[in-house]
Amino acid sequence: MTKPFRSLGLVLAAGLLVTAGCCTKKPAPAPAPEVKVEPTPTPVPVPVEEPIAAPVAEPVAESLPADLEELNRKGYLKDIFYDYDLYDVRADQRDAMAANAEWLKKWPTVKVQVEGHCDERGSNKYNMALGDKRANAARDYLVSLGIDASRITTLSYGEERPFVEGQTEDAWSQNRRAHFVVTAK
Amino acid sequence: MRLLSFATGLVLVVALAPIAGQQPAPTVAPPAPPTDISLVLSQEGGRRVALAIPSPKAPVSEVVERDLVEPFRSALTGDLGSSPWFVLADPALHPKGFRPPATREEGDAWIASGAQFLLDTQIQAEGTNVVVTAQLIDLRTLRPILGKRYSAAGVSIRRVAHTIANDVVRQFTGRPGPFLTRIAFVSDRDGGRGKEIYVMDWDGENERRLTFHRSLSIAPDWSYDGSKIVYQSFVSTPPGLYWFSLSGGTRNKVPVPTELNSAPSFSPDGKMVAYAGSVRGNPEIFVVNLDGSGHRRLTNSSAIDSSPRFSPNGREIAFTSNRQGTPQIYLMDLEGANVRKLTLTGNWSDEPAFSPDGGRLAYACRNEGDFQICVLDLTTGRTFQISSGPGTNENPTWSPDGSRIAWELQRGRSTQIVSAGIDGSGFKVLTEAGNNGYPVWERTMD
Repeated sequence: MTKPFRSLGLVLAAGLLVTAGCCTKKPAPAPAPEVKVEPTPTPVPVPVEEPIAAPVAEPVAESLPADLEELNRKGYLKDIFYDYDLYDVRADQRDAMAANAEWLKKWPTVKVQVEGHCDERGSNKYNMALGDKRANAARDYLVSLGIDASRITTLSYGEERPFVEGQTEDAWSQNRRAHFVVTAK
Repeated sequence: MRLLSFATGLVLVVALAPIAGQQPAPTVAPPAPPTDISLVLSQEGGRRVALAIPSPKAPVSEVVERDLVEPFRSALTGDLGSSPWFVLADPALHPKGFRPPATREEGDAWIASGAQFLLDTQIQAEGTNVVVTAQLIDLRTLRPILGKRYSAAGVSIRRVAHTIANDVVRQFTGRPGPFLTRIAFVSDRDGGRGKEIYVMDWDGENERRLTFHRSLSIAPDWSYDGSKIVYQSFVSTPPGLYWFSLSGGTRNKVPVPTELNSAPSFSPDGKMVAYAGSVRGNPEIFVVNLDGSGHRRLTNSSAIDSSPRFSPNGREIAFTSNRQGTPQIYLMDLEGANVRKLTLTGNWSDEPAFSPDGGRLAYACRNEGDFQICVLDLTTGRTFQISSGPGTNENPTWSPDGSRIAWELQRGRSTQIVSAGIDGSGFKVLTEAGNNGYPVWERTMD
């Protein structure tokens, strides 16, 4: 299920990139004196047709749930996990982050809040700050993959909102995470 | 979203009149000066005074027993029984009658039961009020060294007991015990995923909810004058620093430009808070006045800085940082200068709390396994551990007389607030409903 979906997403994202490329070029020609030489109509018609076709055809099949709660239940954005008392994005979490970045590129109006969480083994007050580091490390990683920083807010819950109860390494490793919540479509 | 409005403290009228005449022979008992008694204590090499506390004399009635005698007895013996100054003589060995002992023989019967002093009390109900008389009798001389009459509303009977216990401790040490002080804390007992701020008496009784934010509100700190509580709340995004007055009113936000905004600590003058704030993912220690003015960053490190606490003289701030590897506690002045590391052992130290005189620092410490509560003597540099056994111990706070520490203890899935004397004696579990943490002891004595 996820693989065809992801490739579809990539195709659509590519389409959007073409669109974005064309649209940003449009207001730019002023400084270039060559505009007068070359007839302008040629570049215009080609991109205009393409972007209209792409979004019209796809959104019918693929649109985000209207309700944010429902949207977040779908889990489009994958949580990532951290090592004990560390906050750098682990190598084995980079694929998940790449997929998150792709999804955010596909839905460029979406805004997201990154929650930083900790396991219960550290102390409460330090962990609150550690969660802030984790959330911001995840945000910075998304920014490095091309997501506009203005779309991302961060929040630390420290160890106050564990995802899994229990005092096992498995529970702890589940609770050291960045959790992504869509806050606007 | 609005909060609290509750009466501060229960009304207590304490008539300090010495008991005159009546059956207890001694009129205005010429009590031995407290200093002499303190001398006795120190002469005995810090040994505890053996105190007999028989049940109060009271009218025989089920209602009196339930509403007055039992709460009075449990509060009084709970207070003095957990005090570092006393050991309670076994009630099963108390002689029958002989209260107060009128003859040498009667006095000797009490001494034979293992007591040096007898705290003799009597409860009289007068409508909805009570009058309690208390005499502390030196069994060697048979003379009362303390004699007082206390009157109050019947519902305040525990408060009367706490007042008597304070007077008894004052008699021996020159200072009252912590028995009329309160502890603010955080509880999830209301369900959902929220946590609210509560307050209780020092012994865990009389719990009351203070916030109604339906959110996550944690890490309270009490102003030194007892009038305000500041805390971190997730009612806003990002979470903010909020405070309220214990005399009532709504919550107030301390406007700050940072994120995170955790672990606020009042300056002793109550004008400022120190807190951990984050700018683009770098938690640092800041200070700010309650109105948002005077916002200043004190630390400058790319590492984590958290958990600030003002020293009682207001000139320094202890905080936690992992700048040299593991989280450890550091000290700096109010310019962020003269930084020095305080905790030199263990692989994790956090949540510093200064003793009321500033001479010692309690904190959550870990070497191997679970967190324990450690106390660092800032003069000698020596560290000792006051908690023991299984479980995670965190967030210590000192009683205002410096004799006890309360903290949160997690065992299995249950987290509760406990307290003990700084020698680890007199361990008490203070809470029961839900999970409870982040205790902070009021800093005023009454």
